[in-house]
Amino acid sequence: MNVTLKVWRQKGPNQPGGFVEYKAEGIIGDMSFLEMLDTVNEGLVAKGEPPIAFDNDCREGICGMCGLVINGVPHGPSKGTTTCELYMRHFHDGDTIVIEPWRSVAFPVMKDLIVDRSAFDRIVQAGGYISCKTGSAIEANTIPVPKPIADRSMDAATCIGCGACVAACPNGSAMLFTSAKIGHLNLLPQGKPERFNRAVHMIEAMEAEKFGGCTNHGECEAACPKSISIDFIAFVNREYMGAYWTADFE
Amino acid sequence: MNWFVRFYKSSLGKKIIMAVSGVIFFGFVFLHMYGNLKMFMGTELVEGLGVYKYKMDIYAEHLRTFGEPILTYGMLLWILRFVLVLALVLHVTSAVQLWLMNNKARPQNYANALKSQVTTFFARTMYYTGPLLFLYIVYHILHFTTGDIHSSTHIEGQVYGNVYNAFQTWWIALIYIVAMIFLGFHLQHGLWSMLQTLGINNPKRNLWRKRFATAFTLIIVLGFIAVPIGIQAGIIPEPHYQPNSTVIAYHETGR
Ligand code: FES
Repeated sequence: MNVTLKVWRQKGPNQPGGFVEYKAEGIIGDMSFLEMLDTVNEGLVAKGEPPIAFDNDCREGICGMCGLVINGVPHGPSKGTTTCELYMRHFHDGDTIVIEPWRSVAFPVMKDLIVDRSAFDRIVQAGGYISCKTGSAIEANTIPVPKPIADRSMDAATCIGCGACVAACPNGSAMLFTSAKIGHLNLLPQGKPERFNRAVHMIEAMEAEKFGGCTNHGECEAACPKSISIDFIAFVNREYMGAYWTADFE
Repeated sequence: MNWFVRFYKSSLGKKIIMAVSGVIFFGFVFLHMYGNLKMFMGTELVEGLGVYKYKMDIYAEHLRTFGEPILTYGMLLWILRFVLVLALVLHVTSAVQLWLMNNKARPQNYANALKSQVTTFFARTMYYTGPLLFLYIVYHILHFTTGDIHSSTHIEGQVYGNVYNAFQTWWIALIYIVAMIFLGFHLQHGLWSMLQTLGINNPKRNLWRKRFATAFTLIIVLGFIAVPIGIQAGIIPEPHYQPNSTVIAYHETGR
C-alpha cells in the first residue's frame, strides 16, 4: 500500500519547524510503523537528503524511546501499544498520516521527532528509589508481600517512561508517569520507609520541570502503551495528603 | 504556616483545596435544592400563632432561628455564608492559578491538534461553566437575597411570593433553568473529579464513582428546575398574602 506522510521536520532545538510531505510506497501491513519510517529514510538517504530523525531502541515495546504523535494520538490508533509495536495494517492505502513529536515545555524538541525526556530522569532521581543494604541478595520472600499488592505494584511498574501521558494530556501534566513511579514503590513494604518523602519530593520535582497539573481528563490512561490506570493518580493524591497529615517528610 | 505555603504552591495542594471546597458546594447545592422543593408543599397552620403560612416561608424563617438559643437569630445563615464565600474564594483562586500554570506547560502547541480519546464534554467545558456559574451566583444573590434585581415585586420575607412572581416571567425562569443545566455540566465532571482528587477510589468499585456523579447531578438539576417549571406550568398556585405580611389567613376568623 501507499501512504502519504506529513512529518514534522526541525533542524535543531529552538529552531522553527514545519510539516514536510513524503510518499511511502510499497508498504506492507506487517511492517511496524518504525519499519515504514526506515523505508522512507532509505529512500531519502539514497537521494542524498537528511533522513527523518526519530528515537527508538528496543522495538519491542519495553524501552519507551519511540514516542510519536500519529494523527493527533500519541503512539497512534491502537490501544495499549507503543509506536514500535504499531503495525501498518491499521492504516489503509491512500491514507495521509501526520507525525509530530511530543509537545511539552519539559520535552524540548532536539531534532525532527526527537524530544529530550531527561526531565523524567530528574523526577525519578528525586525519590524513585529505595534505600537498602548492598551485598549479597537476601533470601527471597523474607519480606511478605500480599499478592494483590504485588500485582498492583507491578501494574504501576510496567511504566516505560515514554512520555505519552504528557503528550496526550490537555494540560501537559506528567501525573500518570509520576504516580506510576511513586505508586510502584509506595505500595510495597520495601518502599514504605521513604513513602512520604517520595510522594512529596517527586511531585515537587515534576512541578519544577514545569509540567502541568492534572484535571482528571483521563487522556493519559487512554494513550498509555501499558494502559496504566489513573487509579495510581488517586493513590498518589492520598499519599500526598498522608504526608501533610502526618508531617512525616522533609 | 510554612507547610501551608509549600502545600498550596504545588498543583496537588491546589487541587485538594478545590476538591474540599467542592465537597462544601456539593453539600450546599444539595440542601438548597431540598429547601426549594418546599415550594410544592403549600401552606401550614402555625399552631402557636394561629395563622396560615407558606411552608417555604416557614422554612426560610427557620433557617434564621435554627439553633437558638445557642445561636442567635440569623447566625447559622451568616456562618454558612462565611464558609461558602471562603470556599468560593479558594475554589476560584486555585482554579485560575492551575489554569495559568497549565497554560504554560505546552508553549508550542500541536500543529495538528490532539484528538481527545476519552475526555468528556463536561470535563472540557469546566473552564467555561465555572465562570458562567460565578456570574449566575452574583445575579442570583442580587435577585433573591438582596432583592436589587427585579425589585418591583420583591417583598422581604415573602419568599414563596418572590419566587412565584419572578418565575412568572418566562425569561427569568429560563435564565435559572439554563444556569442549572450549566451547574449540571460542572457537577457531572466535578463530583467524580472531587473523589478522584481526594483519593477516594478503589479499582474494584470505581464504576460507582461515575454513578454517584451522574445520580447526584440529575437529582440536583431536576430538583432545582422543578420550581421554575412548576410555576410556568401552573402547578404551584398563586400566592395570597395579607398585605405586607407573611401571613396568608388567620385561623380564628378564617380570613
Ligand atoms: S522502541 Fe523501545 S518501546 Fe518502542
